[in-house]
Amino acid sequence: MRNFLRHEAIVLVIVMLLAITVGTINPGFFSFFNIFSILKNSTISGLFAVGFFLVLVVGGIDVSFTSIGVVGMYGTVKLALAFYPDAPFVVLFICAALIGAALGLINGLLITRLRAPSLIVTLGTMSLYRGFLLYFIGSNWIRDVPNAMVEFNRTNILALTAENGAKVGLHISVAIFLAIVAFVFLVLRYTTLGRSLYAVGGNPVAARRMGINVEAVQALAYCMAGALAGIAGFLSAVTLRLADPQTLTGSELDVIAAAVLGGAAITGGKGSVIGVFLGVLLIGVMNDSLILLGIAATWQKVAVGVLLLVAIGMPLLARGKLRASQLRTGGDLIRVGGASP
Amino acid sequence: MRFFDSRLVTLLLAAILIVGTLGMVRPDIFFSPLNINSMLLQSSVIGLLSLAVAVTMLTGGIDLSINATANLTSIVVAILLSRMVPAEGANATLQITALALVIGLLVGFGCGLFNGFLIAILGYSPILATLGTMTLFIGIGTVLTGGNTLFGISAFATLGRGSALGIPLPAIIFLLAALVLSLVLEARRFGFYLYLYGANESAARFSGINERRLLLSVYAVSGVLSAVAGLINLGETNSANVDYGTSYVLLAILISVLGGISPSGGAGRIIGVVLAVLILQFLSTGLNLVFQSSNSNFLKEFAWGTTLLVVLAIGGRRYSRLDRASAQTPTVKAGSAVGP
Repeated sequence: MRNFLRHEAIVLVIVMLLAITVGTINPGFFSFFNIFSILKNSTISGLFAVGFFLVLVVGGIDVSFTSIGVVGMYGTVKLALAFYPDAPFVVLFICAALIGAALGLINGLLITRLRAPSLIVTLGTMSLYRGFLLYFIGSNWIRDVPNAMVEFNRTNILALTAENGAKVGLHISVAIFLAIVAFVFLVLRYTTLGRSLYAVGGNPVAARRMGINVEAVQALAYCMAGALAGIAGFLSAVTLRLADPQTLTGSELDVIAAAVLGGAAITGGKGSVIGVFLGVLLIGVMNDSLILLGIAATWQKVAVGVLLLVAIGMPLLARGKLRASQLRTGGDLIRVGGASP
Repeated sequence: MRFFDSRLVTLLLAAILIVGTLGMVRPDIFFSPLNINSMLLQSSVIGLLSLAVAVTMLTGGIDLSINATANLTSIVVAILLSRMVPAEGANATLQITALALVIGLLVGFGCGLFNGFLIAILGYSPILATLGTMTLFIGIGTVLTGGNTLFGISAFATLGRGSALGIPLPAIIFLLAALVLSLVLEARRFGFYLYLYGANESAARFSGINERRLLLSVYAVSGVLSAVAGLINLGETNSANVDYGTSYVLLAILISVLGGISPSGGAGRIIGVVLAVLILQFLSTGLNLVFQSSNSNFLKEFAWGTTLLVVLAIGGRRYSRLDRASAQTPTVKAGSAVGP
């Protein structure tokens, strides 16, 4: 646990250093307006990242989350318009989460039943879900989204008046995001389920011997990730007041980068939600600073790519000496994840 | 290795079945030379990219940066050519074209070597390393082009649109690349080491294989193959941009798995990949012929995903049988602990 905290502390320091640097050059950075907009812009990718992280914890990888998000969003809007146009917001919200959870469960079952690599399976379901949605359900924009979504989008939890008299508000979707982060944090830290997720990701063999139903826990992780993706997709339609079935695809990288930046290991069993949250914040602050510093937007991907490569390298650098000696002697590392003969 | 294992027979049967069905439904269109040529042309770029992924998958790794490498190559070459051939409409001389070709291949080689460096020397996991370099290469491409499409680069038109003996040149290049790769993998020591490493990392390491050199070469080969795909695409379209063919990464992985390359490494053959490329091309053409609507692209995406999962489901039984066998006998799995 101490190691994770150290990683999170590093990310926090980087975020703060970046913020202070940008803030000194352009004081506009520290305005409530800017900070609120960073938070609001990070909400959707943040929700995706938390879901993606849950799958990483059990040692898998899920690249289908944007497809799930789009299906959850567009499916909910279509269903609501067909059967229940006056549906209250909560019903729509739960509907999107359920669609997402169902698709996530399909991922989980396919992966545990076929015993195929999760990257390949979710690449398959990614195009399957998206293709199904666009061909069989619809590929057109829906501008007349249910009223509850429009109403909800006007809600701010915190309204402030800036010095120049403009009103700035913290959007309510940010509150939903923060609540979900807190909830997942508590589940991972204080429940049997949460500890099982880490156990399965850290060492499936040991987890099985402890009596954990490894397949069920894995499937559940994909299911939860799906639910979060459904919610994220739905909220993206809420903030745009538009259901566009071709949106979100292509934003996978920022999400994966955020989770990895936050210290989640691709081999599973590592990381924390706080780290992921900080990773999301780091990418949000970085994108925002590029604009505030007047750096051309074309450099954004280079920055994310370099940051991503550095972030993956950080934990490797720490055990770099081990790796070097291992290669030299031809011996193998004694990893926690392996089974001893 | 027998030439006809069951996997290849299945693939051949599937190909014959699809061709037969389509041939019966629309014989006038399907068997026309125009259609055959266009199918060959369309499958060569994705075919080269599939070979690039397949060779990394054989080591148990993956290369997600193939398409980014291809696009970066065509962008660099396009910019070089537009600088070196100043007059609008003037033709590049043979020397300049050859120089551009070499530089293009070097760009791909460099990109691949960088991946190999991250994976073999620094110990990055292949997924994350190539995910990062994919973003980086796309980013560099965006900076170079300013996000725009570069038009009117005609020096490679012959490469993209020419033909020899009635066969499109890109198809010849693809088949030649597949043949060379096949020979290297199945008849040379390098190939033997590669399969051994993919099947069992620890055993390969203990038998004295130079792991670093192997991985560096594999990712460099992958980069060069991607670069060739990028150059052909530049020739075909006379243009270059960063967004070209973003769905190709998924498609190339799908084709490799469909062709029998095991995602965990060590098993699968290049000829299977070639067959899988042809099958998907027949399928795409068929869907376009039967469902002539603007939405057939979405149906194609759906069909690809379904095909991949079905292939995994059929092949999955084989993987799990292996798993069970290794669970019964205490063997040392790749990457696991070697007890003291």
